[in-house]
Amino acid sequence: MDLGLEVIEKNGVTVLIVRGEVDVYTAPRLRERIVELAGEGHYRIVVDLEGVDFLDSTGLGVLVGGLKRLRSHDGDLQLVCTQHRILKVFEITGLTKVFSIFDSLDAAVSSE
Amino acid sequence: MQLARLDMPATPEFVSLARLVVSSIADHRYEITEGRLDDLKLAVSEACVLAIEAETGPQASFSVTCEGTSEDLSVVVAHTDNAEPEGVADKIGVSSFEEFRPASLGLPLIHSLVDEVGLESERGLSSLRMTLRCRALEFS
Repeated sequence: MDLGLEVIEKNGVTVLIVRGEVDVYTAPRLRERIVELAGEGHYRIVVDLEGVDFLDSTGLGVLVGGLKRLRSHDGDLQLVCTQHRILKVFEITGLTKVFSIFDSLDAAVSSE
Repeated sequence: MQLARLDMPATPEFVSLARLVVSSIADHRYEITEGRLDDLKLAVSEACVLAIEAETGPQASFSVTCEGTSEDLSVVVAHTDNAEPEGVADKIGVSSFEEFRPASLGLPLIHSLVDEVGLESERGLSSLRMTLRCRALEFS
């Protein structure tokens, strides 16, 4: 499955909806989109991973890179994810301690 | 017993094909839960990335071989010996993003996802063998 990327605004927050598989082939497109959004001044981004079927360490690297970039502008990159198969990758790598992970888009956009 | 072998150019677009083939074989020939199948797909993907990162040049290639017995399924990802996967950091787990280096996560992730991992280097070929203990649905 290919990678799908869609950007919406919800309650004034930039939301990047990701669908499909994030791996060594598709992750560069996700990185480009996050870099573009940061370049446009979107320093708080919620990345919705609910439609992601697969995520490997390359995808994790892109999300961590995005988090670093946004935090350097006093922003943040938050995640929406309830899928066990995706959450497990964050848990194994210890990245649940690094990212704010929400169980719904509403919860993410309404957080401080 | 060899169940399937893929020989592919060492480029990222072929990693999803490797995942698809391996997971299809595991799903159709072994008693394996959905969670374990997800683990195997991730392990295969990480192994393929390590092989691709080790390979350079226009003719670079790697192979993915599935071997099975009645009690386990092994996936061997092999590439020509241009790099030492043993050099990858064996530490896993980070407490802050400053520590995070995605290239260092491949092998530790694989270790956490499958039952047995073996690294071999012989006659210019490096291979990473990942084994899942699972019962074959039927084996002949």
